[in-house]
Amino acid sequence: MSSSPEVDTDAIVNVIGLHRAYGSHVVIENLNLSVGEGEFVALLGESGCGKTTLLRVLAGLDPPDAGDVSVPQPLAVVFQEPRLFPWRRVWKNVITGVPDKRGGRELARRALGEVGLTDHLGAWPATLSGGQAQRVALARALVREPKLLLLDEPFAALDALTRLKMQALVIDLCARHRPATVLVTHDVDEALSLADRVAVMREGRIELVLQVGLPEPRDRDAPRFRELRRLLLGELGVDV
Amino acid sequence: MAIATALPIPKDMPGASLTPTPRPSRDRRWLIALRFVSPLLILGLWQLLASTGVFPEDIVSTPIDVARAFGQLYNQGVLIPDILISLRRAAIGLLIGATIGTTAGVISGSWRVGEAIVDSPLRMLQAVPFPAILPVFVLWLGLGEASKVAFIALATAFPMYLNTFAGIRGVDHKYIEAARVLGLRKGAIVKEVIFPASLPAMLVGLRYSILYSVLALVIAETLNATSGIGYLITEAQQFIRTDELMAAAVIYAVIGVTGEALVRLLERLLVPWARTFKGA
Repeated sequence: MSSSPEVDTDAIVNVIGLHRAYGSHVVIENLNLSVGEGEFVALLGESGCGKTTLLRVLAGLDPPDAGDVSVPQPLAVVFQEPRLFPWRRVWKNVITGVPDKRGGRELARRALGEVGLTDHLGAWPATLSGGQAQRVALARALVREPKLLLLDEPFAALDALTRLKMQALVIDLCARHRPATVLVTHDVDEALSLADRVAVMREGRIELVLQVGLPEPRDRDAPRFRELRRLLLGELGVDV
Repeated sequence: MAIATALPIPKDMPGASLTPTPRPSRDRRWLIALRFVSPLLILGLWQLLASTGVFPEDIVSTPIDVARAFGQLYNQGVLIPDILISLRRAAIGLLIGATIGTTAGVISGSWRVGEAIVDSPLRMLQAVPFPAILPVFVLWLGLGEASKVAFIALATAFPMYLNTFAGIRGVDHKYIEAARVLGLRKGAIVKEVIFPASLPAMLVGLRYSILYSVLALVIAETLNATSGIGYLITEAQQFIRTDELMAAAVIYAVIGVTGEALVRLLERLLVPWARTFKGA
């Protein structure tokens, strides 16, 4: 991820000179970003900084107004809400994005096993708790074997305890499947716990890129972690 | 203390059981029983007041009189044929009306150009109270079955149209986005997302359509008929047979309730998830 608009040939996500505006309101301005294979990048910033818009452009949900965006296929998205289809049972939700439906139930069983929800194979989504539903959403994303996984504040609506468990789960799943991952978050600790690199966004631009470089598993009380946390919070305008 | 990574992978998070706990069944049975008891009490009171002369006997028939009227009509061989004739009118009218309403709703709900073409004439037509159209249909189609069926079709098309339209337009865009990023193409999105998501609203439309079909049936048959339940009413009115009048009202009610039950059955079969779902 460099600020110069050059294509990184090793990267599988390349964004060059991206512009995006809603009417006269510029949301993203001349933004460059590249993500390498299997790399975990966190986009950190306060609400309205354009991080979700960037993710939506990567997902192909919003077209760029200008600039080049290349992403690998298949990609998968987990949104802030699980967005499970309430009319399909859990296992059918999981295989929605799988083109070949043969052996789908077995596939779903395995995917749900990875998120610890095999018991809920035949349940209706509305009977799940928020955390369970979000884990099904993760299974539905990963069952597509995505080369790029896009996470849009997927834990923001969960309680603190569930959020920590979900973060641990995502670390585990990403280590196993190795997709390139872009996580949008406003939680500094979350970014530092999960990401290889943290990009701080402000007013539609990437202001700072930080190579985390902390050993795994990450200790949130380690001096270096605290130092980085202070740095990022300062960058976000919070003095601690 | 490495919280994030020291935690094991959750097998199952506490605090959320899969199946909703069943309600205390004793209370429920008691309430269901009450539902039957209170109408029976009203019938009993009615019978009592009428047979003790509080209600004038020649104008108000008792529940027993009404039951007897059913027997008489049956013995005269008019009850079943007339019910069947009325049912047939309502069913054919409903079938035509609901088909037109659904088709128009799908067109204008899923296609902006279609909405521009279809919606305004339908809303204008809907502004006319539909009973006012009946004389027109009689002039056009005569006093026979055609005008009645067309009238019922007209009455049932609107609720179906409005609810289908609202159902399709009401599909949460978030689901469509989720389907898009899962790689579903337009046709698949219609089949997997838009159709199932709007089905509950369409069934609500069907419910109203059935209600309206009975309403339109009564109007069409009471104004002009030589057969059917409405004809029974006209006859009974001429001979001041309140027992037969009330029997006819009961038949209409039974038809309405049966239709309603049919839709509930359809709901159970087609949208079993709706009972678990309390909104997005």
